Order: sequence, then structure tokens, then C-alpha cells
Amino acid sequence: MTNHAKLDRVIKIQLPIFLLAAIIAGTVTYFGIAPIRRGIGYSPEQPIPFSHQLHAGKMQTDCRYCHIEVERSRHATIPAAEICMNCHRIARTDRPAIKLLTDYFNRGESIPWKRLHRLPDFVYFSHGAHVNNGIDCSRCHGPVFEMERLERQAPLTMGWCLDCHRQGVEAINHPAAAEATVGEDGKIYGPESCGACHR
Amino acid sequence: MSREKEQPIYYWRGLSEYEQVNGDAHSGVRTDEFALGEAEAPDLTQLTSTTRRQFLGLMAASGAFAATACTAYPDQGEIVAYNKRPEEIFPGEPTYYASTCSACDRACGLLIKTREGRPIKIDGNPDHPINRGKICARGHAQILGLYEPDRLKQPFRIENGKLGTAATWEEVDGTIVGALGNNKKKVALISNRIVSPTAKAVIEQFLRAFPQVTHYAYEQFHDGLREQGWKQSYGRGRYPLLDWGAIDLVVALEADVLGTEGDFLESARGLAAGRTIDAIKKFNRLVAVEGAMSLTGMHADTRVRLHPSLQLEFVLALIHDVTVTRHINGIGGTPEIAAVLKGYDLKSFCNRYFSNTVDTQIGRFRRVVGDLVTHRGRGIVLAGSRLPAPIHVAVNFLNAVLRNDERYLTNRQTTELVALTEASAWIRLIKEMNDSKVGMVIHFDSNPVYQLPAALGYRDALKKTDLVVTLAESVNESAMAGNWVLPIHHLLESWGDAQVRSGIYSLAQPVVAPLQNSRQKEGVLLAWGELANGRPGYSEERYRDYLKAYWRQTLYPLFAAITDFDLFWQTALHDGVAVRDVPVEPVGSVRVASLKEVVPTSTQPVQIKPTLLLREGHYLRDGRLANNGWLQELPHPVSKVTWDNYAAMSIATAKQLGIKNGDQLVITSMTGDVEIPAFIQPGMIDELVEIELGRGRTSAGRIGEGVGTDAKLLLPITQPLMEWIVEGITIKKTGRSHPLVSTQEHHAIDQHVDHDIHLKRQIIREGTILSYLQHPDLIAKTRHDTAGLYRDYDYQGYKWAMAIDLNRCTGCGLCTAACNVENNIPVVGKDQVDRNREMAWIRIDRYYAGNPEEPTVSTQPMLCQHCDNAPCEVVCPTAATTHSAEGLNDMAYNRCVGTRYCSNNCPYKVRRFNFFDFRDRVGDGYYLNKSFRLLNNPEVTVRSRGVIEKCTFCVQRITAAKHHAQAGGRDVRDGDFQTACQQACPTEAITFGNANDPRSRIAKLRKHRLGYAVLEDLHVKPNVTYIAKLRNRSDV
Repeated sequence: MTNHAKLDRVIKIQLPIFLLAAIIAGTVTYFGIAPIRRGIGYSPEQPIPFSHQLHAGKMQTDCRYCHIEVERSRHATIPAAEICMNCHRIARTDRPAIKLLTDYFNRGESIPWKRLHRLPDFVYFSHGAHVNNGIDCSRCHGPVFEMERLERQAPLTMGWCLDCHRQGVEAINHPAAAEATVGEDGKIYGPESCGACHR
Repeated sequence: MSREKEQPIYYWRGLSEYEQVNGDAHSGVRTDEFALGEAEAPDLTQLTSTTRRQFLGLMAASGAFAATACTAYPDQGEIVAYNKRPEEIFPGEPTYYASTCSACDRACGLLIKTREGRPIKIDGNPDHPINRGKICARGHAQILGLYEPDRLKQPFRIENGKLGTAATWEEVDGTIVGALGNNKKKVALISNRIVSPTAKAVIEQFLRAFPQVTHYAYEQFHDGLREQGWKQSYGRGRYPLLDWGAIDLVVALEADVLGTEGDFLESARGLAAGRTIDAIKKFNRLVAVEGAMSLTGMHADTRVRLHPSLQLEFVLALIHDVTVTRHINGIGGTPEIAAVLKGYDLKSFCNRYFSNTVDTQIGRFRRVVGDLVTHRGRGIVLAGSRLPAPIHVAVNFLNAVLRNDERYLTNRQTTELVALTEASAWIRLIKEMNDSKVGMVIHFDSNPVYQLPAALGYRDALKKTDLVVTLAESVNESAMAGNWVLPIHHLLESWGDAQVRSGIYSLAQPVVAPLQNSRQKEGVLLAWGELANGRPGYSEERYRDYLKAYWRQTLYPLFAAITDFDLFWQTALHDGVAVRDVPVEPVGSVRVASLKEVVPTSTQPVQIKPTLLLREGHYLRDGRLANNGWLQELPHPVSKVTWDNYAAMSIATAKQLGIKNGDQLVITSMTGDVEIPAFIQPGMIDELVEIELGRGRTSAGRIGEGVGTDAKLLLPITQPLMEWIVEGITIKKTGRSHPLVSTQEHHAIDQHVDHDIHLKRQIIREGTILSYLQHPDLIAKTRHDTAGLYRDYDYQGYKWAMAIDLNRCTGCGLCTAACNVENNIPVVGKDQVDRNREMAWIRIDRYYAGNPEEPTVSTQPMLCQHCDNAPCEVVCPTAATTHSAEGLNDMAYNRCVGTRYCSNNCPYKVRRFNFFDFRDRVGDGYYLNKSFRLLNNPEVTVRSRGVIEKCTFCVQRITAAKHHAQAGGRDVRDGDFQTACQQACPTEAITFGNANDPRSRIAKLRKHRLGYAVLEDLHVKPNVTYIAKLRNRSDV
């Protein structure tokens, strides 16, 4: 007889409470850490403490001076060490960071930068298509020219991409847009078909 | 509650089961569903000491530990850029290089696409005057050979016929230079045909450095008999090149001008140019007179079956009819010709050999003569390279009589840099080898053990040779029969040049640094010469410098260029080819006496005996690339058989001998016998068996070994070393069978339900020119105007569509070959092809119609039609396949769960499912090797198990073109880009573009009167328009 009372207590009281607690905790955690899951705020330490705030902000170097392929190709490309040495052969050679850089360059080794923005393999994103439609780098990557150490601002989820595709951007003085369509309001809308990104 | 043990009731489905259950043969499995021992209670003394509670606690604790270790969830790894970016590499964009192919001796120009320094695709060089941007299947597929794990990584000794200990190049060089220095016995340097002027210079230098060396050259397939005939007809010179674009009539005698004969990329292009639907009245006519079914025969307007033994008398009959009966004679002296050809007129010919069907045959042949006469001066009679020399002499005479020699090109000639070695010299060499008079044999990137006629006894003679060295990319039969095998560069790692025509010099340059410890083969010879004189040995630069010096000293002066050599050299490397005009000796007039020389001396009719016709493998040719899975799996264009070769014979011959498809036969000739499976080929002449060479290799690598049968045992030894027609063979059944796997039904005609299904369902719609001119709505009236329930989508912007002109499609399969490379298509292996699981996204469907003995053949490329009302899109439960706003059927592999409902619903059956990874099965996981990852096209997903894939209209190329156009501030123009199949098609049968652009070619073709869509009555609204084939028949 005692067996039944215990079982009753477990089933009718303890189990529902436990389940409720688990569900609430899980949901809160899941949505609460969404930015962490998606990587927003991720700011890893880089092998060389390169400062975008100094180069892109204070010195106003154009993004495309270093990220050279962004208008031509799908990839923006991380600059080769050679590009850094264009200036740093002479500039600030006394600083430890520059010494580190020069060391990499002279050894012929690639600098192992920590990657911030990465899409899954089944997504074929094209920087060129976006840049040539007049979309500024900071729209997705955030105010990079204010970042001492680069921090990820973009969730890079499909929903986030499609939101912008559906919102549209102002058409720049450009006669053609690749996948995009020009709406009646003159704005350019990104493609919504699967094959535009998934192939 | 306790359950009483109930008496079980046994059900049985048949007597055999009843016997099993109730009879003496009582199998425990029937009464007891568990195997012995499984249903017994577990032995508690055998359990471990850990209790259940302890176990669960342990699992939870380790789980918690593991979870705490996952701190860096957002970690995306590293991104590693160049230290110094090479200035020609733009990450994300391809870089193209020009080179020259070396897969055979035609030396076509190549355009190699590289991504970040890796070659990923080979196409034809558009600037090369011979192949003009097209390349054959071997050209496309040979890129696989660069990344193959079966490539030799370093020199090896051969011990007991297998790879032995590895060796260093220093050891090898030391041994060989020592042998060359000390050993004064004869040395044989054996190669394939040398088409490179610089390689020829290197060999000559080698011969001067070591006077005991003699150079021997061979090819399994060559034009020797035709050249011999030409010399007899004209006394001098070489067989001329033909002005294909200006030829109105081709009579091909056992000549597969669309498939494998000569520069078929050029002849196919030229003949297709004469079949443009913009000028239907000017269509050229193709007549094929052959015994075996070839691509040319399949595509011909008129095809006449004729046994090869009768070809000579047939040509003589044609000459007689043209000159004596029709009084057409471009060279004069008709009474003399009549006298020489007494008894060889058409009527006597037909009476002699076609006693049952004299009138039909006379009618047919008279029509051929009629064509020849009508088109005289603008036609050509072409004898295939396998036919004996007397036929070529007669054909030259016929062409001269008809003034067809006006079609011979006068501004360019073929060249032969090094003559192939005569049979008598080979026989002498073998004898010397058997007498132990040969000290060393060097196989210079050749495989004579596999490719020379077995009757020569080359393999056995090698055993008596002191030192046998083979230079090759990977193991081959000749290497295994020798002492050393030395790895050489793949084409894509090599420098080189080639000259096959006067005034056209093409260059080959490496596009990637050597991946293995291999060496440039010409450089190896140069190094041995240097080492013998105490100078430093091999260096990568030596051959490049030698090549450049050769061009500077010998070729550049010929050009009278206006620039200095360095600029000339850079331009030649960039273009891949340097062309200059060279005056060609005029052909002259034919020797009238040549006719008499070839008329048979005997007046007896030819006895038609069972004959064997040997041919080059359509895709494998002489078997050099047998280890290439793509080539092995490309369905044979005529029989659609994969992974095998076979003995093709006619329906009647098979019936007579009681042979079915797949029966293992023994074919015996004077020189030997082979076991080979039979294949019944509609359209073949009786008493003829055709076998393709190039398979049956014993040392080729894991993919190519043991596939198919080596038929060279049947090759006789005659001048000039090879002969491909063997008379008097015997065919016997062994009683065993070797199933042949064909991607098309074997019994395409037998089943009465399938019979002519392509005509009933209007998949193939054809007509003749005459009927089309009389009834222009011939095809238009067959169109279906279907209506649906839903509103049509309004496609603004781009609307991608394709048109395939069936007048030009020859069924060659190069579209499939190119698509395989472009889209990372896996090789599935023979057993999976047997289950219809081949993964090619585009296939050539071949349909027979009419009389099985002399069928009409139609070919049709079939690919995803990108239907606007696609039946596949509506049934996908995960919306993995959807229709884009530009008319493309998109496929998102990551959404696909593998329901296969879409494939089920597709009326064209073009959706391929990855039942397995396939790469983990073929050749024991051969294609899983990491080196093949370098080959993958980075713009196309590599699909894994469980997803559907299909043609995407090369969406990666469409997107790239759109982005480039956008960067240039404009829309995509017609011709900005091509799909892979369109780029590969040698006859330009495929057109692709934006149907919404009114000026594009595709917009015009979609509305053409001859255009139709396959299975359009299903209201799927396909976006591929097929232009109906109009046969140019003289008999409607």
C-alpha cells in the first residue's frame, strides 16, 4: 500500500514540477544565449593585435585597400602579410606588434587570424554582389572602424539575411543589379529563391 | 496473472515450407524465431560488477564534464591568408592557362581552369585552330590523373613483377648512366608517336650521346594505311586536310568521322556547320557505308550495311557507275577505266553478293552514286583508317574522278615528325632481344607490353633483356615486366610543345608544381646525357630552358615576327599556340595506273568469312587512361555499356550461333584467342564481330585493373605493324556468362510494349527535309497546347532556357563528360550502374526505330528540364526543390531528407539520388582519398549520402556571370557564359541563354517551327526546347 502513495506523489506532484522547471529553464537559456550561440559579441584574441580603429577609423584607410577582392569575387579575402608590409616596412618598425608581423613575413608564414564570420558550407555568399549594389561593409559587419579588437556584430542567420533582402536598399546609380530585383518604389530587393545562395 | 503456455499454430505458405516445418528437415529457425542461445535467460554470474545505478551515474558525470569543456561555442576556427599572394591568383576567381593535350597524338589545344593554384577543369583552347575550344572525353577526364593516389610517388625497383623497394633518383641515375656507359650492347628507346619538335630534338641528342640507342615508335591506332594508299595514288605527299565546312556530301566507308576518326572534333564541327536550321535547303548529306554500327552510322542520313571484305569491290563499282554509266570523269580516259573495271559494275556487284535483294541494293547504291554525281566537286568519299590500302587507293581515284579533290585544303598539311617504326624492324628487335643482344630497353612513357600485338612476343623477349626501365606516371604492364619504374610528370605539370600540322605549333606549360617526386621525361633523358659527361644532373628548369632555346633558335626565326623573342614567347605561351602560313605543295593529279594496281587479280567472288573488326575504345582509345573512373563509366555512345568491352555482333549472327547478351565467348584468330562477352548490336552486318581495345588491363591502378577484356591477342603483325581487320575468326560459346551493364535497356526493341515508345509518346519527333519543305508545320502541328488551373508566373528579368538542336547532336557524350567534371559527379562503379544508380546529370538517350537489322537511330540528350510547372517541386515534403524567379529549378541539398518522391514524380527520370556516398565503395574507397578534394569545383557542393541531385543549368556559372556583369555595370549579354555541356559540345548543339532577351539565340529557338518539348502534354512546361531532326534523305 505504501508503494502506491509514493508513486502517486511522484507522478502527480514532483514530476510536473520538475518538467515545468526544466522547460522554463531550457527556454530561457535557449533564447537568452541566442546571441552567444550565434556568435554576436564574439571577439577572440588575434595573433597580432591589429586595430581597425586605428587603420580604418583614425587613418581612414579604405576597406578595399586590404580586402582587395571584395568587389570582384565572392570572397572579401583577408589581406596577405605583404599588404601590411606595404607600409610597415617603414612605419612603426619599433613597435612589438610590427616586429611580430615582420617576423611572420620574413619567415614566409601565413598569419593565423582567428575567424569571426563564417557561413556553413552549403551557403554560397557573394561579397561582390552586395558591395556592387551599394551596401556598405558596416551594414553587416558593424562599425568596424570603431573596433579596437574586431567583434562580431552579425548573427549571420538565414532569417537575418532574408530580412534585409525583403527590406530592400536604395538603388545606387547603377543600371543593373545581378540577382536583385528593382521594386516599384525604386528600391533594390535581394533574391529570395533558394538557388541564389544554396547551390 | 499467469499465462498458460498455448499450443502454437504454424502457418505455411506453400508445400516446401510445410515440409520444412513438419518434415524431417526441421530447421530450428522456423519454429524458434531466435537464433540458438538468444532466448535463454542470461547467466547472472557472467555480468560485470558495475551496477545499473553506478553505470548511469558514471555516464551523467562524464556528460557533465564534456559539456563544461565546450566553452568556445562561437569559435569559427582560423582564417589563413597568403603571406605573399602570387600575383596571378585572385581568391574566388579562376585563372586560366593554355596548354596542349598529350592523351593521344592529336595534340589538341587545352584551356585549363585553376582556382587558387589548383587545376580543376580542362576545356579546349578556343584559340587553337584545330579543336577551337572543344576537347574529347579523355581531355576532360584526364585531370583526374593528376590527383590520383595510384600515381607513382618516387622511383621503384620491380621485384617479382610487383613494386619492390623504393629508390632515389640518384640511385636510378647512377645505375642507368652506368649501364649506358659500360654496356655497349644495343639499347632500345621505345615511345609512342612523337609529336613534339623539342622532344624529337631531345631524343636525337640522346641518340648522339649514346650511339648504341635506337628509337622505336608505335601507336595502336594510326593513319598508316591511308598514307600508304595516298603514296600509291599520288606518288608523294601526305593525305590532305579537308575543308569540312564546304563539303556538301560525305560518304564515309567504315569511317567514324563524328566519333573517333582523325580530328573528329574538327570534322564534327565542320559537318555540323553544314546542318544549320537557318539554311535547311543547304543541309549537307551524310552517307555511311559500314559493317559495324558507329556514331557516324547512327547519325547518317543514309546508312548502308556492308561487310568490310566487300568495301573494295563496292568502291570499284562506284567508280564504274560514275565514270562508265554516268560519264562523269574528272581525269579523263573513260574507255581505259571501263576496261580495267570489267565485271566490277554495280549490277554485277549486287548480283554477286546480294542475290536475295538485288533490286533493293541496286536502288540504294544508285542513289549513292546519284548523290556523288550531284555533289561532285563539293563532296568527299572517305575511307576509314582501318580499311586496307587498296581501298584508299580506289577512294582517292574516285574522289579525283568526281573532282572532289577541290575539297582538299591547299594552305595546310599534316606533319609527321618521327615516322612510326615498321613491323619488320620490330620483329628484328624482338629477335635481337631473344638472342640476348639487347642490353637495355627504355619505355619512354609508353606501354608496349600492353599495346603491341601479343603475337610479337614482346613480353617474353623482355625477360632476356638485362635492364628494362619504364618512365610512366603510374604502374603499367610494361613497368611490371621490367626492373625499374620512374615517375614522370602529369601533363598539367609538364612543359612541352607539339606540331601535328604545318605552321601550327602549340605549347604546353605546367599549371601546378609537381605533386610527387616525378620528373619531366624529356628532362630525364637530357640529365642522363649530362651525367654521362660528368656534368650536373636533373633540374626542373633544364627542359624549360631547352624548350625555350629550341623555340628561339629553330621556330622563332620561321615566324619573321615583328617583336623580339621574349614577347613572342610570352604571347605563344599565353595563347597556347603560334600559327603561321606555310605554302603547301599542290596535290597534283592522281596516278591513273593506280586503279589497275588495286583491282583484284582473282575473278572469284570474295568469300565472306567471320571477320573481326578491332577499334579504338570510344573514350579509352588505347587504354592509357583505363584507371580513370569517369571514362570507364561514360556509357558507350552506341551500346551504352559501361565498365566493359564486348564482342558486338548482329542479331542474325547471334541467333545463328545461339548467343544471348552477356554470353561469354571465345574468339579465336590466327594469333590467339580471347574470352569476351557478347553484345547484340542492332544495325551490324552479319559475319562481323567488333571489339574495342583499351580495356582488360592487368596493371593500371585500382580502378582500371581487370575491367573488360584485352583483345590485342587478336592483333596480327603486318606492315605497318597494326592491322585491325582480322578475317577467318571462330566464335564459340563457353557456356559461362559475363553480365554487361548498359545504362539503356538491352532489349530496347524486343519488348512490344516499349517498341517505338519514343515515337508513340512523341519524345522523338523527326522528319525529312523534303517533307518539312512541303509541310512547314510538320513539327508545329504536333505541339500540345496545354492549360492549367493556376495562373502562370510572370517572369520579369532573366528567364534561363536551353535549346538542343537534334540535327547537330551526334550522341558523342562529351556533354556528360564535361558535366561530370564541372559538378563533382561521383563514380559509382559497375554494380551500382546495374541498379540504374549512375549519377550523371545529363545523359544521351538512344532510340532505335524500325527494322532491328537496319534501324533508324535517334539520340537525345536528356537533362533536368527545369519545368515551370515542375512535378518534382510540389511533392517535396521539405521544400528542398523550388522554382526560382528566373525559371530555374533550384536544389537545396541541405534541406533534402531523401524521400525520393521528387525523383518518383519526374517524368524524365533525371533526378539522381545518392544512395551511398559512392566514393566509399568504388575501388575500396579509392575516391575518398584526400587528394581528390583538390579536384572538386569549389563553386559546387559535394553531395553526400542521402540527397537528390540533378542538373542545375550550371547555376554557379549563371551566378558568376551575373555578378561579373553587375560589376561591369550591365546586364548579362547573350554569349557571356556557357553551361559546361554547351561549352563541351563539339557541334554546338546546345544553346543556352536568357529567353527574355529578344535578341538572344535561345529566344529565337524557343519559338522555332521545328522546336518541341518532350512530354509537354503533361503540362509540366519544360524549359528545354528540342529542335527536331530533319534527315536529309534522297528517298522520302
